[in-house]
Amino acid sequence: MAILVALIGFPVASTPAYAHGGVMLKSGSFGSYEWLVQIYPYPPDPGVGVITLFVFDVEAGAPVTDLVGEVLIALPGDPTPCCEVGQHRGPFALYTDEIIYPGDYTTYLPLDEPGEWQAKFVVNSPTHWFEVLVSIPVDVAPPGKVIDPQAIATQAAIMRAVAESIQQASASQSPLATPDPLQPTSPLTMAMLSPLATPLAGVGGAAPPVALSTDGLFPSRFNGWVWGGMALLVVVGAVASTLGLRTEE
Amino acid sequence: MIDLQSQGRYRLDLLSFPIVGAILRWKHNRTAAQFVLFGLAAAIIVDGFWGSPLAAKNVATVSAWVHYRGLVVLGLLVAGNLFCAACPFVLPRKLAKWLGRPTQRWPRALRNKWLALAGFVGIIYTYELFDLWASPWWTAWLTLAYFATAFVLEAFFTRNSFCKYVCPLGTFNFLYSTVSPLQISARSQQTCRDCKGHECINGSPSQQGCQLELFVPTLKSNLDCTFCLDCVKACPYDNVALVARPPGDELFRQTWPHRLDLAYLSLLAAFVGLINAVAMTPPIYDLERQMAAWLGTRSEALVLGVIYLVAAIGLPLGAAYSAAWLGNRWNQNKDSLNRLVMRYAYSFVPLGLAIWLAHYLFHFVTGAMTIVPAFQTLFADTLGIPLLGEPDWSIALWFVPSTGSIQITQLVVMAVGTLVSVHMTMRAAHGANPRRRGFWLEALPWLVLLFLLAAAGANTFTLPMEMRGSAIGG
Repeated sequence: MAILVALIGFPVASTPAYAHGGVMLKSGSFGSYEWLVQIYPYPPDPGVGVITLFVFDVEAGAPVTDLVGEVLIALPGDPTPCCEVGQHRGPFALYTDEIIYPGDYTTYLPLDEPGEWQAKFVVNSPTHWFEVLVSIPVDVAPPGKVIDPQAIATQAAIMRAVAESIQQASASQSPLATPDPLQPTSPLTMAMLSPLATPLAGVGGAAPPVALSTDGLFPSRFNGWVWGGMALLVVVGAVASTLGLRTEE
Repeated sequence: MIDLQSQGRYRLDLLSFPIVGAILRWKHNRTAAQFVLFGLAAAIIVDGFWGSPLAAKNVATVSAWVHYRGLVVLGLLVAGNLFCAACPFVLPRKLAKWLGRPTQRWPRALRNKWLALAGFVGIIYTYELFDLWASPWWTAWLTLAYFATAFVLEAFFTRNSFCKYVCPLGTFNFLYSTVSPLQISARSQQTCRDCKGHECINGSPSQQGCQLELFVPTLKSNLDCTFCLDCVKACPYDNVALVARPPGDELFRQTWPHRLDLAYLSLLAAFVGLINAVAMTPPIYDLERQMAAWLGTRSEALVLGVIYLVAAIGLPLGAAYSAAWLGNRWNQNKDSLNRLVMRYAYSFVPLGLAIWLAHYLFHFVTGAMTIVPAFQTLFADTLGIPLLGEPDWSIALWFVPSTGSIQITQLVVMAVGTLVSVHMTMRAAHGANPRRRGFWLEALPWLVLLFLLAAAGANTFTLPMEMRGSAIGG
């Protein structure tokens, strides 16, 4: 049993997970807008952080879907005020899927070292403009985890590209948009999002997005460890039960 | 008639404990607990209608979709049907009964779980369709609707018909309390035999008996028991015990071989649990998009309806009857397919609970502390009375475990649930074919079905899960 759990658990424990939404880092209001910033995973290790700004118009009683924004980030310990283009990392565009996650603006940040990062959201709409400053605490990497800034940056870039294509598909085919299955959108989404997915970028470099899409939808969503472990568990359980029941006879 | 204690299997009686026993026997303990949850329900309604529209900051969405769900499944696992025991929805029952003066019993044709099962599937579908986890307003409406439904039905029908035959939440609790480690039981079989009044079910002038019509000396299961402890208070001989038993014990000792409604409930609840979890992961959105394209529609109600109809009802029933047919064929049996479904469906209860637990545990452990700033916000911002101080959202970040440790816990829960389900399946096959060495042939297709459900569930918990509805989860 312990071996089985270890077999199943090891790949899970050793890889990060990404999700929509996440832990709320900060919230506030601007005019009639209420907003909050969430990050996932939490607490983040060095890697790609999924950061989301959710904006809701209290007067209208609906999420705000017409914003355009970007994020700049400053490394831990950076003495300069956060954040300016050219001085700090970014800008990273915010993406939204107005059908499935109305009001959410997400991007993928390369948080490749531990410490207190600073992030600045700059958000525009036809009638509003505002900035949000947040701190992002990043834990030290677990023992044995290799931090490759280049690979993390590439991974984040690919995920942003995926988010952009989802945004385009969603905007063009609402309310239940269907991205072109021949495009790498869906496969990449899951390949990159799956916590157990094979890292798409190797150490020191990255495969181009087109090549990654050939992994297809299935392998990235299908976790062999989990299915194999469960199969083994059922077989072992059934055999043990059978032996036990025959002994009872 | 059984007497579990006199059989010597269950020796631990919580009612005999000095302090716990006194609290449990207190005449007003249920009402007190109900008032606490009634206060919470009031907070849900107030904050849902007048509080922050951000789900992550609102007591309605945080308490209903993070805390209630997580605590209910944990309660079922470690104790029993605690929510029904403290259910706020039936607190106005006395008023309803006084107003309605009901004389009618619940219609005979509906004295089963079909209505509750439909309500259960319907409520999960509604949850998904209206994104209830993200909407304090809808959550408040749902809470109000629940109160209204309970009140009206209590006013029209005698006994606790709403609890027993209608309530989807209660039905979920009834089903999974069969796994719980606590159960009501008679202390002495002989005392019950000698009893003339049967106050445990008929009541006495000062205390009502079981309104769900459960007769203590014949109790073999937690099914339909709300843990209200009316029977304890009504028994003039102090002959009712709240015994500790091995978790899931009843499932290994008896089933309901003639209750197709319960068999369907056991089966569908497990699959609905999976769908409910999958619905919070990215693949479901891709599926929705594809379905919309295939059907040429933009109606989410239709697309989601088709997905639920197929995945939550059609697929599990089709798979179950296929497994029954294959088991019959391989084991050269001539049992009816319904009989086989009723034989094996209960094996899905432990795995089903594992799926619900793994799912809700994720939200609960990542969002447990959110309730503090959410209540601070309710008092300070919604009510304008900062009784709990100004909202401090940094509290929400306390005690959040790492994603890896949550996922390992989820997989361990799934593994344990799967093993128990497998063992139940083998016992059911052996019990039905005691002299056949090849009894496992009948169980084989069910094992395959269990494996598929377990693996799909475990796989789901390794996917990224949506976390809307609370500051740190939901």
